[in-house]
Amino acid sequence: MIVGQLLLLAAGGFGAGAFGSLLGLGGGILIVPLLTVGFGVPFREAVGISLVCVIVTSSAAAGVYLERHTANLRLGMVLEVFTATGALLGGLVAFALPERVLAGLFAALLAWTALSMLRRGRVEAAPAFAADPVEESRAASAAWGDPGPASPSLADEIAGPGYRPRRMGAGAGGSLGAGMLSALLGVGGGIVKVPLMHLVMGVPLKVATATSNLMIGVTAAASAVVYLVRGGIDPYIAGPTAVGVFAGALVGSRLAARIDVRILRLLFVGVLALTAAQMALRALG
Amino acid sequence: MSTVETRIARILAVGTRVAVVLLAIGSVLLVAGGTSPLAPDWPPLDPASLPADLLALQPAAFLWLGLIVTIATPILRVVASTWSFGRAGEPRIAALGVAVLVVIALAVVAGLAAG
Repeated sequence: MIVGQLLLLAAGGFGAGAFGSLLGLGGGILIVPLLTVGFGVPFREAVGISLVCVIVTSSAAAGVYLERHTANLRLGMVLEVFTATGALLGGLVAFALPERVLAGLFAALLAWTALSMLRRGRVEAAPAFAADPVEESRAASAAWGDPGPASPSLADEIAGPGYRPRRMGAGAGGSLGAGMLSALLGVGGGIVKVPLMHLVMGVPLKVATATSNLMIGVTAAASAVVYLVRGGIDPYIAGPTAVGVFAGALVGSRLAARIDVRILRLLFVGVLALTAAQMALRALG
Repeated sequence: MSTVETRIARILAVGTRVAVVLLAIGSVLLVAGGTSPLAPDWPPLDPASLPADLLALQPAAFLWLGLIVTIATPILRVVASTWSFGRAGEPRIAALGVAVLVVIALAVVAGLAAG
């Protein structure tokens, strides 16, 4: 019985890590529903455990992104000031908000993620052109009303090969929001940071994804510290779940090249929609 | 790969593996001792007794240490980056790293004050 509970937690973490890795999501969006709906863990405790799992996957993946030169460390360090500040504020607010409000926010996040994945699926189903990432980032940025080059200085310092981040103010504000979201709901916040860097700041998508992953660890750590110090992390559940997430993320990253994720994504959208409905019901009491 | 990125990638890889091993040991010791991972109560984190509890093979000690290493790993990454950028003559980026560390220190203080 006790061994079974341990294995179930580890298996749930494994599934969350593997699915997250295959679909390019952090595990957080899956771990909170898994723990609250599947194991009856209180929402705030589930968020604390999820933050730990998110740090594990981020740290494991970020090293690889750095080795491959895809993450922009300097850009990450600039935006981390704001994501960490948002996470600190969110971590404090999370203990003041009723759990039903948090569950309602999470339901909205799940629904938004499901819609984003559906949209992404349609884009990927369209014929693919060999896009130049620099041109692609310029085009994406222009769609938001290109203001021209940012003032020289910090933007030059954090520029990468072929691109120069723009709209630093918008990037800072959006990062603050992403940090709060991460701390309140136990997610990595990549769903905010990647579009923010790519569409608003003009960073190539691949770099934005890798840099977001690098930032997630520090962002989650800033709020996890608050949860840890306030006794909001259950070590008994966090241990096996985090180990499972780590193993799942490793397996998922190896399977990603061999599996057609389009069908998987559609199935996953269905799971997200169902989970969103369950979370919404919980929010409504 | 630049030296900064090599060092940081190594810190992240080693920190994650150490944390996962500690969490795995703690989880195995927990069930071996007959405690359910879904038990409603757990021993609070007590840094002062952690070394003795580790020597006594207390599962909670391994789990707490694993959680601390997990959370400390990205923070250590910021420390290493800040140090490296400072030495490399990039004071602005290094200053931003210091700012992140200040925010994390504030999180500890705020958590202690509120808890």
